[in-house]
Amino acid sequence: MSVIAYLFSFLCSQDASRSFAVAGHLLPVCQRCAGLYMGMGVTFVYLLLKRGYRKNLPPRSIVYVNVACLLAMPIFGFHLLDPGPAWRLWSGLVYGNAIVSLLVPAASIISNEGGKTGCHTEPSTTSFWIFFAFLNSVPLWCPAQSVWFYYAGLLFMLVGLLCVAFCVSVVTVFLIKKLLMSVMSSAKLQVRPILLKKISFMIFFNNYLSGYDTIRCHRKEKIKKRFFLF
Amino acid sequence: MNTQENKTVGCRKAWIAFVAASSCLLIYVMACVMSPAGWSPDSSKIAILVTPPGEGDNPKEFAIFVYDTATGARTLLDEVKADGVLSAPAWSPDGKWIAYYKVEPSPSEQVGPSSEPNAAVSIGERPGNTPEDKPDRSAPSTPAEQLFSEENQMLPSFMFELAEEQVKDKNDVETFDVKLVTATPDGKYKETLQVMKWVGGDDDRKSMVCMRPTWSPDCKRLFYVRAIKDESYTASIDIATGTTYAHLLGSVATPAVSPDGKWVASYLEDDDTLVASRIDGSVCKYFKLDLEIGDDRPPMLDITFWSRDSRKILVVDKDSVLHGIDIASGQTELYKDPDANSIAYPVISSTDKRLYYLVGFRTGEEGPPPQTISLKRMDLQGKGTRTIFTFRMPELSDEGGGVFSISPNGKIVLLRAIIKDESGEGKSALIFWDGKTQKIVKTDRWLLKPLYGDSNLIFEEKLIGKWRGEDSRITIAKGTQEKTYKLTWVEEDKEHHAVANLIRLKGVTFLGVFLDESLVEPGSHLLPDVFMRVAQIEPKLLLQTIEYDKLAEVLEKAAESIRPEDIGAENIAEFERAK
Repeated sequence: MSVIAYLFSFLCSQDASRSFAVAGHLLPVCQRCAGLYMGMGVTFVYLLLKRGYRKNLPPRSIVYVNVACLLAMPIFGFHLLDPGPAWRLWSGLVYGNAIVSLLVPAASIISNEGGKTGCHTEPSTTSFWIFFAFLNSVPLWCPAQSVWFYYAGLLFMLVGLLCVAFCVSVVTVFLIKKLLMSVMSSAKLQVRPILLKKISFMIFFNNYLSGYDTIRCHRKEKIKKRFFLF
Repeated sequence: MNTQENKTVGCRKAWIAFVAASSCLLIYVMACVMSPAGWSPDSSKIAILVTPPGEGDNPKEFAIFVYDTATGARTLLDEVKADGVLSAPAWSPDGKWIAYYKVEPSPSEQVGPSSEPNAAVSIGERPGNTPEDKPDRSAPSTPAEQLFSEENQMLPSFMFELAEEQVKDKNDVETFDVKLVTATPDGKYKETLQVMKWVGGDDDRKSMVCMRPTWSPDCKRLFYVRAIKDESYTASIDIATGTTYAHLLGSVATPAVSPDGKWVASYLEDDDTLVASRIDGSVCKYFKLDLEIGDDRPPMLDITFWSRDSRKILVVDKDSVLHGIDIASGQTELYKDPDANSIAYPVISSTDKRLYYLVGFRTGEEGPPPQTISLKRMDLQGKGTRTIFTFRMPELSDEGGGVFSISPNGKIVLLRAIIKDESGEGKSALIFWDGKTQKIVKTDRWLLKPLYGDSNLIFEEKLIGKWRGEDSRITIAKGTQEKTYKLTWVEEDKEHHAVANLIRLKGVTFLGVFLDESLVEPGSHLLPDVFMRVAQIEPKLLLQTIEYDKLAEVLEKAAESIRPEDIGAENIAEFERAK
């Protein structure tokens, strides 16, 4: 647990007075961060199950809601409005959901260079709204005072964190690959004229030489033939 | 639009979404990490009264230390020996001052030079003030004036006069001088604000360790109590002018001042009455309670305290139920934790204005304390509760139960107790819990003065090896640090470990043994648990145990070198080198 707490110490203030204690165990992040990382983890699992990562970016209605969730964070995140632990958890959950809903399909599309294997249908949009409603209901019963809930929460938080790390690394790898390709192609372009000159010169020279030899051979043969013929 | 164009547009949108989402996440994480909870000055340090180990209820030495919980640095603020007494210290709300009561040792038992009695004295230079600015705070000269020297602001006013007459009528009244001292936390400046006569004997002197003065929220006034026989009255001193006022009668040793600085409250145990008086003396209210809050309660506890809006006085009764008494209407509201059977050591947080308390520990309860204790928080408005963290109690010694306190920001729980160390012996310790870590600080050593310095440390190769005694075996090896030994000894089939230094003091060699290996560290590395004189190494190792106090005495007496007869020949153990 100390390793997880250490890991999250880089990402959260870990204010104990603003952290949930679940069945006697203190979560290693504050209430809002708990919501954020759990929201990211749960949404990532949802997207994996629905194969939403292979589809296009979410439809406009979902994007608008996600953007609204992102914009709502400063109000709660910078304590302009702080009605209590449940609200902190809620703001984190919807914020995490919005981030992963955008991040995962975006990373997938970027790494496929704009290619996608499916698109959002009406059932998939409906399922998102059901999922979103579920997320909004979590603060009503969370945290359940059970050790299982504590470990499940930790697991989802780690999944959420890994999801972001995975998306960022996928895009980074894609960028590096792209960069290398472009470097290689630009290098080729610079090398090409010289090569072409060399090759054409060689061909020409070779042809010329071979031609010269051929002509000479022909002449010799002609001479020989003439000789023989004549 | 062809497929390639579709891909380009899709890719562009994906990039926008990716950058937006990752930027939002980054901004959030940075905002969360960069704004950690601020530690108020009084939660980062503690001022603590320390007494020597093993002296029980009658310690011969008192010292007040300021301990920095983050760095572990400690500063000695004040100390008294013999029959002198110090009270528990009280931090000023701005964190710049510490106030406490001090009783100097009686002249016959006085060890060091004492300051002149009945006079206000100061040591060091007062920060931001010149000595000329200081008002004359000499104590009144006549005995009657010394007993009741304050300006009467009690309501009804005859109560003060009645109390005065009770004492004045008797000729054989036993009194002692109590100083009200303020000091800066670094110990560089100390000032005696007031020297006052207390009526009482030895028991009253001893009870002083369980009380402390109280600061007004603006730090301009200091509230104190004065014992008059079985009761006491609460008074205050205006620090700028030195004028003193008597406010109310009460049984509580630590008066409760309202956060708005307008009211002071106390409790009359015999009448089960709560008294709240306006500091300007205009109003005094008496609330008859039926709580028996004084029974079976350690006197150190702040029995009464105020809500943050200064409208209610909060009192924990004998059943650990919190009662809020509205000073305007006199109505009582109950605050109970539905999940806990007690509300112990309550404190209103200075940061979020909520009530923090401990559950799982019942004050005055017989039998062993529970294994786990939770720090909980209650919202006094909605009465909703929440567990902040739960911690396990360490194994305590049979000598004492311990006293908890919660930091003013509600984030740290401190237990002062005697714990069992590795060898099973009791050690006075401070145990801090912050929800993530447990920190144990042993305080017995704090009162010791190092008897040697780094220059006295020596190293003898001959000491290394296996030694066999009459009923024990010792293995001495080279320690991990320079000039240290690692000791392992087996006694009655039980193996013990320690670290030791070899010290040369006034011609005699001593082995300073640290039973806790972690003590070989800066600050404690010159304060071993046990001293042993190394009388001889070859052919036989002769070790003689000598007590710290005795060694200190011998060292003080010896002019140049210690003679063997100064130490004596008791407690010498003989060891042969084992093959």
